[in-house]
Amino acid sequence: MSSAGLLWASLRGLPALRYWPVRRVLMKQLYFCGIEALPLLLFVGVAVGGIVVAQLHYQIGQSGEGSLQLLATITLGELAPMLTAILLTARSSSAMASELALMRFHGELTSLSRMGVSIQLYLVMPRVLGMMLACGVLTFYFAAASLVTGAIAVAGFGWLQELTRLALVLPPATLLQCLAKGVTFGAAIAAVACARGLAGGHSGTDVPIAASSAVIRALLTVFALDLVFIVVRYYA
Amino acid sequence: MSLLSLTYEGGAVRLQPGGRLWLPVSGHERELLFDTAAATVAGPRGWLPGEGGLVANLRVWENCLLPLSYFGRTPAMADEALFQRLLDGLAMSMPERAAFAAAPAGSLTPRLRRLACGLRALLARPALLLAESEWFGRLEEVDALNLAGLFAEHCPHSAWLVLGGRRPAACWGFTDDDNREAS
Repeated sequence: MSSAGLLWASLRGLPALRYWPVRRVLMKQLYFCGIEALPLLLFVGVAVGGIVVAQLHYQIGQSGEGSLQLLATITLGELAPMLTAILLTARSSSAMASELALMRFHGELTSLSRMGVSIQLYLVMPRVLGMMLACGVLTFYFAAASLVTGAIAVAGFGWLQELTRLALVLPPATLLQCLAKGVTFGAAIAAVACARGLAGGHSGTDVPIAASSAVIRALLTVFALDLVFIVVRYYA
Repeated sequence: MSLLSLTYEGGAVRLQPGGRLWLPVSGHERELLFDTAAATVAGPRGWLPGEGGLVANLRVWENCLLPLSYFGRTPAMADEALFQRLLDGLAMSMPERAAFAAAPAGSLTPRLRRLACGLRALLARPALLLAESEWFGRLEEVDALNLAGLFAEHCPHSAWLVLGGRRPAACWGFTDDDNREAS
């Protein structure tokens, strides 16, 4: 099944969350893609905040307030969802694809089907949903880490005041767009990874092929979706 | 009323609830027949493969309760008590049972893996049990007798479809007349 087909099947299969084995897979996914990835995302968020503000404020000579506003616009509009998606693709999509490809290789998918357990509801849907939620939340944390760092860099101990002022001038549409991008990118990454993992052959060499193909295709999908967001936002 | 109808060697073969059917097929034909049977009967089905069969990143008790809870029943006290009762029937010592139930499926010996597959099928209490004949052939005699007793007690209405080179032993309820009755 194609990535889009898996995504659609996952959304239709949400009622299966009432079964505890499905919820258990979702919890594992949230832990693996969300909680375990948090330190890495926070580190990159802090670094991005510091780097962007340093460039704008100290090298280009932009005012502190202006630098922070630019940082917020850039981070919430592009950097936070894109970099979160790229980091999660590198970290989790190859793992997801190789896990499913290995399960296929070892006959575990056949076993589940023979027992009457749906592969899409038990394996794919919780992964897609988990990655959607994780990517949305991590995007928010990434942006928060970046903005707090930027505020500290330009205002020192007055960082909280700077952030409060920023919150007043930032349009809500920017925040909504950031969240929408995070959730969409997460769904796309997981759907592509699951499709590549399930499409693998029956030999051991298909596992690394599925993993690398999942990363490449997920990156292409994320960039294409970002382009769609830009077209919709500015030209629709 | 038959539970399942399969095409074998140009003719129709039917399996009644609680019936036994063994067909000497292998390879691609066997996979096709298993897939057809699985697609025909709704609800949980038992699956007893010659090799593999468990989800490697789950523990044995999680594997055993998976089909049961997937089909809408939560692993309540009653189900866990049934799991313990089934383990009683396998004549394992308490430390051995505890280690077995908590072990990751990927770390099991072939003997314990076959026992875990048997327990999982027992817990699901399916209408249809699909089995590769290798699963029976590789069971130790004492385990085979214990499991056959448990299946007779807990799944008396389950129909067995066994595909592979060797007919299962008589203790599983398979006799020479089964296939004649089934067809």
